[in-house]
Amino acid sequence: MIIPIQYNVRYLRARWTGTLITAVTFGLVVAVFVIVMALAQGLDRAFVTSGDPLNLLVMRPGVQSEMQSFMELEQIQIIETLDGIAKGADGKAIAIPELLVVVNKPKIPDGDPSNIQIRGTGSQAFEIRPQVKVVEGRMFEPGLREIIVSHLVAKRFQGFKLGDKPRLGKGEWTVVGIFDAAGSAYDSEVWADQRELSEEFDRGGGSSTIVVRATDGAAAASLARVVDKDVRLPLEVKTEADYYAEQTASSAPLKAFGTFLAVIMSIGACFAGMNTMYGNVASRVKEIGTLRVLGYTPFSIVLCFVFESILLALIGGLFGCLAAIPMNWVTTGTTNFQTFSEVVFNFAVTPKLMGIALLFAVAMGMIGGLLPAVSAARKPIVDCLSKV
Amino acid sequence: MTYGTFIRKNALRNKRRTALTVLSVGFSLFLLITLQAVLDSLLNPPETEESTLRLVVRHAVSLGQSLPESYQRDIEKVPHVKYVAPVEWFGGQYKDPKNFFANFSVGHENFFQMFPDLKYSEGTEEAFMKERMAAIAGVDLMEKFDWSIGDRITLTGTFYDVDLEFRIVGTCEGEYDSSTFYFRHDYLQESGAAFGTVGTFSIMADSAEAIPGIMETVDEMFRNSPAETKTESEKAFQLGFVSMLGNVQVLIGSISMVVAFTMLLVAGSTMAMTIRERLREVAILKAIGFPRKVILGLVLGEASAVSFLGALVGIGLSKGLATVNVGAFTADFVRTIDPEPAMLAIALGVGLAIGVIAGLFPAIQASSMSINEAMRRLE
Repeated sequence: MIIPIQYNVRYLRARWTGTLITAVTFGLVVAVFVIVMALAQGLDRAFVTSGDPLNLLVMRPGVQSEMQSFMELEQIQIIETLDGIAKGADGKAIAIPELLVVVNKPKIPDGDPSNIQIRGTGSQAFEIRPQVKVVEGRMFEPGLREIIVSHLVAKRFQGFKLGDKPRLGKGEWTVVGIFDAAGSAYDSEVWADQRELSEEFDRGGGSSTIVVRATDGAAAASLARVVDKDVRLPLEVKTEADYYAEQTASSAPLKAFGTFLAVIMSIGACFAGMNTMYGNVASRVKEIGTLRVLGYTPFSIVLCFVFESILLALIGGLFGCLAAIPMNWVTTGTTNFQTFSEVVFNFAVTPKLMGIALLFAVAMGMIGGLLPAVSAARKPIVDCLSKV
Repeated sequence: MTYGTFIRKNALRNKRRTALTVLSVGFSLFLLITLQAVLDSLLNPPETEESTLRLVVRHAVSLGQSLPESYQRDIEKVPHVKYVAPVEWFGGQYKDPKNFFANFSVGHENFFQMFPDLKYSEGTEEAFMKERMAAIAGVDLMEKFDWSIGDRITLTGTFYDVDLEFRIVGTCEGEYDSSTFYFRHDYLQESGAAFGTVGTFSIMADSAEAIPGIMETVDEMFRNSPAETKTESEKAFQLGFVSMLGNVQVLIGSISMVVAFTMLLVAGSTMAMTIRERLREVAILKAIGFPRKVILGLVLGEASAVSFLGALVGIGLSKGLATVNVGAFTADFVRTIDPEPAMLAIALGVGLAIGVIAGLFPAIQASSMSINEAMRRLE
C-alpha cells in the first residue's frame, strides 16, 4: 500500500517556511547550473545554426579556422571551373573567395578591447547564407570601402553604428548597413568586399578560403574527392556544417566549469536537504508510528519520505528554471580562441536544458532523502508511539 | 560549566545535524574560495621583478597582423630601452591538437637578458646561441611528453604552412609557468615563414618609471606608417586575453553571491530548527535568571562555531585542490588554484559572519520571548 501523496503535499504546505528555505536552496543550485549551461548552449547554437551542408569550405588542410587558411589566386581560378557547383542568380558559378581578418576594437561600455572578425566576401554570399539579412541601411557596394555590421557587433563595439567611419587596417571605412544573422556565428562579424579588404590588409587579392555551393549532396561529396585528388590543389574541402560543428569545441571549458559548479554546489545542497528531511522525520515520529500501526509497510514509509524529498527538490528546481528563463534575452560574448575573435550570442535556456536541470533536482532530492527515509522506516513502532 | 562548554555541548547534541551543516557550509565555502582564487589568478597575472619592466609591442590593428622586422632597430634607439627581442606565437602542434602548449619563436641574441626570470638548465644558453634548430622546453612539457635533452621533435605549423624540426638543447622553469616552448626566430624565418616580419616585440626598460614614456615614444614613432603599433606593459598585454574571455568578473562575482546566499540559508534554517526544538530550555535559562544578552550570545556562539567549522572544512578542501594541476582542464588559462593566505583568512571571516547573520534571527527570537510563551510553545 502506498501512502497518499496528499500526505506529503499537506505537510510541506503546513511547514511552509522550512519548505521554502530548502526549496530555495535547491532552486539556487539549479539556477546557477542552468545559467552557466545556457551560456555554453548559446555559444554552441551560434555555431550550429551557421553551417549549411551544401556550402563547402575549401581551405588549407589541417587548419583550425578559416582565418588561418590562405589561398592563391590561381587556386581560386581552378576551383571555379570544377563540376557540381551551383549557379547563382547572375548565372555564374557560386565560388566566393573569402578573406578573414581580425581587428582589435574597444567594447561598449568600458572600452576593454576585443577582436572583431571581418569577413571579406561577395554579393553571392547572401544567396547561400539566407539567414543573413540587411535590416537597416543597404548592402556594401563592391569596389568601395564600405562595410555592413551585425546588429550585435554594432551594439557591443564602439564606433560601428550606421554611418560611423571605423578604421580597419590603414584607413577609414563607412558603415552603410546593419544586418541580422538570426543568431548564427555571422552575427559576430563585419562584412566587406573581399578585394577591397585584401587590398587594405596587403594580401595581394588572395583569400583565406573559397566557399562553394554544391548543387546537391552527391555533388558535394564528389567535389571533395576531386579537390583531394587534384595535385594542383593541396587543399581540403569541408562542409560549412562540419566546420562550425568543430568550432563548438570552444564551449568545452564553459561546460566543464558548469559541471564543476553544479557538482560542488549540489553536494552542499544535498547535505542541507538531508538536514531538512531528518528534521521533517523527527517531528513526525508519532505519525510514522501511527502509519505503521495502520498497516503501511516500512517500504512504503521509505517511499513516502523519499518522494517528499524529491517533491521538495522539484519545487526548488522549478523555481530555479523560472529564475533562469529571463537570461534568454541577455546577449553576451566570449572569444573563440580558434578564430581569435569575439563570438556574440544569447544565453539559450532550452527546454532540454531545463529537463536536464529538473532531473538533476530529482537526483539531489533522492540522494538527500534516502537516508532520512530509511531511518524513519527503521524506527520500531513501539518507540515511535511512546515518544512525546 | 563555562559558556564555551555550554555552546560545545549544545552544538554536539545532534551530531548528525551539526555534521551535515558543517559539510554543507564547507562545500559551499570551498566553491567560494575556488572561484575567488580563479578570478584572482586571471586578473592578477603573476609578476616578477623583470616582468614589470617588460613591454609588448604589437600591430595596432590586431595580433593577427605582423610588424616589419626593421622596427627592432628603430625601437632599440628609444631612450631607456635596454633590450628589444622579437617574440612570435608560432601556434605549432605536437602530433595532435590536444597536446596544446604555447610555442614562441624568439630573438636568440638577447633572449636570456630579456627573460632572466626563467631558470635554465646548464649549458642552455651556449647551445641556444650556437644551434639554429635549438629549442628550450619548459620542464612540465619535458615531463608530460617524456622528452630529454638532445631529443628531436617536430611541430606542425597552423598559422604558417611549415613543419619545423627542433633539437631540445635545454629546459626552462618559471615560478609560475614551466610549460612554454621557445625556439629561434631566425630559424622560423629561414623556413620561409614570417619572412621579414615579427608578431610582437618584447622590450625591457631600464626602469619602471621609463615605461609610460617608452609606450608613447614607440607608438608615436610609427604613427601614420603602414604598420602602426600598440605598446603596452606585459601585464596589460596578458590582461587583454582575459578581457577577451568575456565578462568573467561579473559571471564569477554573481555566482559567488549566490553561493554565499545559499550558505546563509542553510546555516540559518539549521539554527532556526535547533532553537525551535530547545525553546523550553531557553525558557528555563531565563527562569533561572540568565539575562537576554547571554542567551543571545549563546545562540550566536553556537551558530558561528558551526559555520566556523564549515569554513575550516572548506579551507581543507581548497588546500587539497591546490595540489591538483588544473592547467590541463583550462587550456592553461588557470594553472593552479592555490588561494593566497589572505584569501583563506577572508574565508574564515566569511564563515564566521555567515554564522552570526544566520543565528541572528533565531537568537533574537529566543532571547526576546517571554518565559510563559516559550514554555507554552512546546507544551
